[in-house]
Amino acid sequence: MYELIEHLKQKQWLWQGSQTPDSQEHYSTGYSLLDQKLEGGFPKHGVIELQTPQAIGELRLLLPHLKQTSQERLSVFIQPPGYLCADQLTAQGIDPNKILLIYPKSEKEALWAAEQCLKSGACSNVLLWQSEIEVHHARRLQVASETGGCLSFLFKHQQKSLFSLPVSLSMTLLPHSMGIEITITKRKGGWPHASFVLDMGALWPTLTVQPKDPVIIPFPLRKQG
Amino acid sequence: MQLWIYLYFPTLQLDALYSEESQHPLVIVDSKRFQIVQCNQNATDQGIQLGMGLGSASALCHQLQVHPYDGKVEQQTLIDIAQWLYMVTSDIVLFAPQGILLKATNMLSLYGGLDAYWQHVSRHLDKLKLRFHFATGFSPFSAILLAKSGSNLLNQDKQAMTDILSRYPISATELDHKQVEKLSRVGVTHIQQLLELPMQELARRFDIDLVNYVGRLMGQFKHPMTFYHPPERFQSYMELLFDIENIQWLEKPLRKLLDKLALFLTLRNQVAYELQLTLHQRDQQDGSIIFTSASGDYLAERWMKLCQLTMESLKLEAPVQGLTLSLIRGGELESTSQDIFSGHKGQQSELELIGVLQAKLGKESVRKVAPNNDPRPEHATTLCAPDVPISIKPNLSHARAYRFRPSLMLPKPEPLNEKVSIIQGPERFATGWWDGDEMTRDYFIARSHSGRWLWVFRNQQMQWFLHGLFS
Repeated sequence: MYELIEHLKQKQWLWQGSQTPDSQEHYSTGYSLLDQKLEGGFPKHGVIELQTPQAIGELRLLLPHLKQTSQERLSVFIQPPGYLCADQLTAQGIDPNKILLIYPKSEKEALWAAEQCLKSGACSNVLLWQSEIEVHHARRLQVASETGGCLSFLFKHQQKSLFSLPVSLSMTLLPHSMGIEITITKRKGGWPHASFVLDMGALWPTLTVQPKDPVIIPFPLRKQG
Repeated sequence: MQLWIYLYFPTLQLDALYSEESQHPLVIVDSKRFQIVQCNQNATDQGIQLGMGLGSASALCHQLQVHPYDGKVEQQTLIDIAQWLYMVTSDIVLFAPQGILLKATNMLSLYGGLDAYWQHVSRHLDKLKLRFHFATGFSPFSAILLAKSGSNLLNQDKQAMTDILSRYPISATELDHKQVEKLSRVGVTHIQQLLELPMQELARRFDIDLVNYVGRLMGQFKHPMTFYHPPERFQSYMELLFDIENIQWLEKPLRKLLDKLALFLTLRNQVAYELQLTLHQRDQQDGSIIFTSASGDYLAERWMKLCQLTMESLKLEAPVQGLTLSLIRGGELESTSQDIFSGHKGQQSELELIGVLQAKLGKESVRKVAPNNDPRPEHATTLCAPDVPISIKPNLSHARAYRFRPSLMLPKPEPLNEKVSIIQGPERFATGWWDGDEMTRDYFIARSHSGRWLWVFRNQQMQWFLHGLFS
């Protein structure tokens, strides 16, 4: 038994909790709380799975990162639910020349396009909206993203999948009046954390509902007895 | 003295079309007189000779494959040969249907002598795998005469060449049958005898054509001719040996055409952006496929990859007999060298990636967003072709910065069918009078009860629609 474990450790197929993970290079997410929880930020390559309902701020979560990384290379959006608003992009300081939208005719073509973009080396981010994805698909995307030095974001509807995908990072997002409630469900070389609320009020004041000031009714002194 | 080299291709059509089928006896037959005009080695071994009738030939050999003679094919092949030879020699004259004349004089100093020049030309020509005879001459006609007789002579000495020439019979010359007959009646059967006659006597007794011929043969008269110039546009036709019904099988013949294109482009330091492949179909109108490359390519491998991706999604309607590849849009090759010390280095550039994606998914599936100077939400963003650079006016981006817009817009407004609470609004749009697409709408930022941030509007009829997502 011990020999077997040694063997697996040598091949680096077994990871032990006592080992401290190598500090990889990271991209800052633009939110200090998220950076802290992710111990640095998004990894430099790999697949990041986001299980999220639509329109709760999942894309806004990535906008600071996209702005930071889209200077030189392309960011590709594959079958997004709609099209990007050019005014909003320029207002955010993102050059529309560095944004590419792809509307494939089938899910298979979407995966093909994602793999091509990831391994080309001409892209820094690939954002893919796809619900049905299998383990071997995710594995191929992971390998391609390492080849091209490109980060891949995978937007999925929330679902109870039986098995976890081989991705670098998996997060579950839930709506919250102050921003987004994030649960890090899987992180390479890290422990799962409890969920936390990311306050987006500083960046998007219009899109947060500030809690009303608690109404404090002082307890009448007379009745204190 | 000027030096000429004549190349004579006796089996041009046979070599051009059917060189791969050399294991079968093959003949080309003149379709008017049913005489054999070209045959391959295998047919000669069976006893078939040139000029033989089709009946006796088929009696000699049962497995004989017969193809009709086609002058157009030879003409086209001849042009292709000239284009190929243009890489190593400059002055080329086409002598349809089966000959090419090279003016060697100007090239000798470049290559350093006739032997080196010929070695270069013949090695270059061998790549086409054609059978040919050659000969030098001091005039175009003398070179033609020596080459057509299959002498394969290389000589720079005029006296020696004249000696060889004078031994040939009159019937070997380019003179027509009538004049040969006339000359033989007065006892002139060999060129020697013809040359011994004084020019004045010839002019008095025979017509001007004969005088011209003799003068040109001996290099005394000027021989006007038009030299070959390579075409400005690329267009190449290829006939297929058999009908092709599966589009994937077109790849091999297409590869040959792309190799030709690569040669054409390399010589001019150009790249191609758009190609058209015309499929000549049996019993149907010609179909055509457009291939595009956003970055512009000249290499055959790159184009092959793009063509394969484009053809994957197509199906042939009818069997294809021939292919024509033509260059629609090309341009100068621009160097895209990047600083090797800065930034990422990938295998592909942005435009190359766009080209690959467009080839597989179709041109309309790959888009970019460009801001448009229109206040209406539907028209404020245009989806445009990805290879066009978008210019952003700085004042425009400033003026619009304060307007708060959703990050994702729906292609068409959808009826709102969930409960929302309004957070901000209204923002009224009453505009669009100039092109008939008028609208009066009140836009609101709303939050649904499930926590979604939406951009909704109410029209004049008090109907509510969802138009954007604050994703």
